[in-house]
Amino acid sequence: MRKKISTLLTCSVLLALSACGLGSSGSDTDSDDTIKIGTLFSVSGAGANLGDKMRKGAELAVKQVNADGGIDGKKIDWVFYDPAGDTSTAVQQTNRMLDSDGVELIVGGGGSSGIALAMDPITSGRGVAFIATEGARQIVEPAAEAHPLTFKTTFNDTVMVERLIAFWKAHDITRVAFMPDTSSFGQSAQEELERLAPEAGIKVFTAAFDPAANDLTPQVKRLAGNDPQAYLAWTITPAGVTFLKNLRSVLGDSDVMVMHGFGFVDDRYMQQAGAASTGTILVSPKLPVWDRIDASDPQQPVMEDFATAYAEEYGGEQPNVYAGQAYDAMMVAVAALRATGGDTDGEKIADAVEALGTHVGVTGAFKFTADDHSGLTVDDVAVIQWDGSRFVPVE
Amino acid sequence: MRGRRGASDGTRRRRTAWELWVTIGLLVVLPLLAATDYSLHIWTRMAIFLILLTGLNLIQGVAGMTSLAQAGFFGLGAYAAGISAVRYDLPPLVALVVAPVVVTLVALLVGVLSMRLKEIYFTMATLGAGFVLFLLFGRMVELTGGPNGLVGIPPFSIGGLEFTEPIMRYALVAVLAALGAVVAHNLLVSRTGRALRAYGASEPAALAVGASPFRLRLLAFGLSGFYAGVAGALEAFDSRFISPSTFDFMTAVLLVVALVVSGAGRMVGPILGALLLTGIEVFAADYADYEPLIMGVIFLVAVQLFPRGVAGELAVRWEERRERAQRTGEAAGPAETAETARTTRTTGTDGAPAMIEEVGR
Amino acid sequence: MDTGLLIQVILSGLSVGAIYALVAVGFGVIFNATGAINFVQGEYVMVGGLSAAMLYEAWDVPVLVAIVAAVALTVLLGVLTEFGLLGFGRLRTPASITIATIAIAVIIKGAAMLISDRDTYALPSVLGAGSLQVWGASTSRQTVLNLLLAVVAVVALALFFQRTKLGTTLRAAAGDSETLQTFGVSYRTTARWAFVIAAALGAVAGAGLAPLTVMSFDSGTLLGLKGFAAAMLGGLGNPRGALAGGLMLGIAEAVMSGYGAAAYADVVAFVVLLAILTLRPTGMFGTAQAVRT
Repeated sequence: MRKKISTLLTCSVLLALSACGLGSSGSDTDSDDTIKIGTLFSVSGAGANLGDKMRKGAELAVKQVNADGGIDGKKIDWVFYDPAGDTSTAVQQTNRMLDSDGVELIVGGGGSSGIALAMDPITSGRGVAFIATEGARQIVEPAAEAHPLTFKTTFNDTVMVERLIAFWKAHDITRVAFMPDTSSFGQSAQEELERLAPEAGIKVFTAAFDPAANDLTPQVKRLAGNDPQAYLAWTITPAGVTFLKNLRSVLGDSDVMVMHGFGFVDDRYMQQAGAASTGTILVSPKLPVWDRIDASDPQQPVMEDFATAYAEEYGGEQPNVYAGQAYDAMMVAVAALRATGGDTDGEKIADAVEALGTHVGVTGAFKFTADDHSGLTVDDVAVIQWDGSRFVPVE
Repeated sequence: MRGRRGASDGTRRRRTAWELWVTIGLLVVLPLLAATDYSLHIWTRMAIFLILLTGLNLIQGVAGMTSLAQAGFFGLGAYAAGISAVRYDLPPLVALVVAPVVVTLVALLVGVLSMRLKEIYFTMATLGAGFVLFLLFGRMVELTGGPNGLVGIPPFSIGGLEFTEPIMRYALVAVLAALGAVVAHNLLVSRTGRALRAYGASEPAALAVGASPFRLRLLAFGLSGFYAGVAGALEAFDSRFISPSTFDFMTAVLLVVALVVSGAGRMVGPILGALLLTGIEVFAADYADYEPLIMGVIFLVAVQLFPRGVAGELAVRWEERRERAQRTGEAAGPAETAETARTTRTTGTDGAPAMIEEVGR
Repeated sequence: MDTGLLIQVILSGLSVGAIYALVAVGFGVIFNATGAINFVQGEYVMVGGLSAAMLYEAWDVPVLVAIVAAVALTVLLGVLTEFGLLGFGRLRTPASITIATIAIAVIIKGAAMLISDRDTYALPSVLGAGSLQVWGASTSRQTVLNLLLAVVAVVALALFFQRTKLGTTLRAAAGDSETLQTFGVSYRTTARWAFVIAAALGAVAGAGLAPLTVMSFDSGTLLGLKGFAAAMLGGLGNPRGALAGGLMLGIAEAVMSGYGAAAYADVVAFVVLLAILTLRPTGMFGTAQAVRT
């Protein structure tokens, strides 16, 4: 018996050893016929739903590129890990990708801003380019000084909020009830909105909520006391469904404007809120309404191809904006790699990304410059509405 | 009986010393076996876990009380150090001192409030404390950076010497981990330590000899907080980024399970637990979608297989073998004693493993 | 307007509190039988709500049938939990059982994540989608049903513990398996019944919660912990205490959301947990001995 246990002990130590020690044997000897791209998305833990969509988007891009013969004949060798929403696990996995797996370029920052922020110092420290798919603008700002090798294919909250304010102004709305969740997604938006709205003469009343909350009527009723003209929620969690239902229940038939941020652009969520979601207005990339926009928009065919290919690959499933962002990030990396002739040196890739000019992607027409590593502008934002069965553009 | 007790005390001390040398030996040898940047990073994580578990071992293994606050304390240490460095520009060395002091004070406060509770109630109070800390890390945005995390933590440095090379970062953590193990070992063989262990098994026993269980437990809990504070500060300077997700309920649970499974109350328990935690983390990463499922199964199987922990199980077998050897050498009479001794050990089982034998006699 | 907000806060508190109460009762049943804290309780809520919603949405089963099937499935899971914990005869102390329940909770959540493919699912209320207007405030019709369910569950359990033979043995088991053995009832049998009851309560809570929001594999964990805080508040193991504790915790959170710093609403449960353990560890209605003598 004792023997058995000592064997077990030795095994567990060996396991730990082999896992990290021996794993490094194949590193740094990057073969000439592949390019190793590493990706982290949280496909388990809170937010697993989004992580899974992002993984599908990135995976689709890799498959398409490889099926087309790769990058100058080199296939993408894709390495994927799941940090499960935890930054310290993500740090460990980033080190593993760079030091042990021989990853040359990183696309995708774990699916949460916190993780991308934790990864950036590591990739930058090794001179590796990093194309993130997360929202917080601190990931890439200030670009030239602090994040020369890091890019992202998502909207800055600033851009979204500017679009919102323009929309409110056009509709003579000056009093807004704002309900962000307490995650990083909600908190970043709150900072931007409370900074920009007063300058535009819009009064914002804020009541935050926990992403796991099951009833938001106290917040809604509390905000109703300020007589707002519009209610805006900012979340990616199912609590957004509760928001819609509670709002209908508390406000009855009164015709205030009900709004959601771009994190909630999801057919499923809308359907699950039932009648309460009809008429909800959202700020979003153009992807959900790709078949309703002007065919002259250069983005239109890109979105159509993506939506078709995605549905084909994943059994008829419609892509959401997160899948689109991840797809874009991978495609920006590929475009840059094609420009450098497959050279994965961080600075060369960064120069190539900045020299792409206009990269028409699924999420928008990216114009990366030395000072703007986010690349999207107000022109890329659409205001859309759920008509009860699908999203349609709003004039 | 009295003579035998003395002998057993002697063996215990030797055994603990042997276990201490295993711990320190592994800290020295492991990086020599595999010293790439990545493996050094892994060993650094392992050593941070070791510090956390050494602290947890004082309250879990020695006083026999399960604390689910260790992850919260870990986080408090990390934020105390990170905030000192980022928001108040304190030198890292000062932050490394501030963090454990802050955590110890909070641990003592939590301890004073919850220490008189029965085991399971105490555990739930620590769960509450850990959760409140975790939620505050995410909510106090101005101070902690909120859910996005605290960015811009400098590397650890003494004077002008910056600890940026992986080998130096490992050395820093390993030296402190070894120091922590030595302190814990000395405490365990000291009079206070023995009183603590006696208490962990039986409260009346402690009261009978006039020890104050409350004060002893509080000491153990405060110390476990101190260790968590050091580990937190090291985590902050090693990752140079901290966010609430690292210090959640799951981390608290994993720490306790890893310690229980590897052998709470043993000097060698923490290092085994730390190896287990890092091993699983590295191993599970290859099975993205099945990771939570695999983790759960491993822990259930481990808890069922080793309710006393691997090290505790090992010790019991070892004792049994020795007794068998004794029995074959002696007449039928002493065999009975061995039989009774075994019963004493097995009845108490998992809460405070392997410590029971001493008090039982 | 002010009274409107006050009523709204109370209604919201009762709505969420009824769910907490059902979860809290489940914790008490297991605690009485095994002396352990069953961290799977929150996952029973998730499984009950999620599987009912999945059955309804994916297979188009009538709502009531879906709920009954979900309760049956969760009860089966309860039996399996008991086997996973006590079936090997190796875990004896409440502390070690408690730790093992966490492992089982992780397994169930991990499996649910894969089975549901991380999607969210919705379940309509059996009472329809409309809401009730009460003095300038409003709540979902489901709230009334949930309150009713919580009260019925508590009364039924109280009667069960006092009037039936099984109930008396279950109550006798509270921290004293030796007494049980002298009665000729095995510890395993009582434990199994306790898990059946707890799982059923959890599933009912889940089916009651689903119409208020939507369910995913992640819906149970935090709810379980808050339900536990409610159980402590009322007195662990006391069904009436669980009801009171659940409703009070629900209202406390709603007050924080409606009047205080809304962002801190979820901290309330854990501050309450700490406070009650410090000030009155047996809870408001508790009888169990919580402090060392």
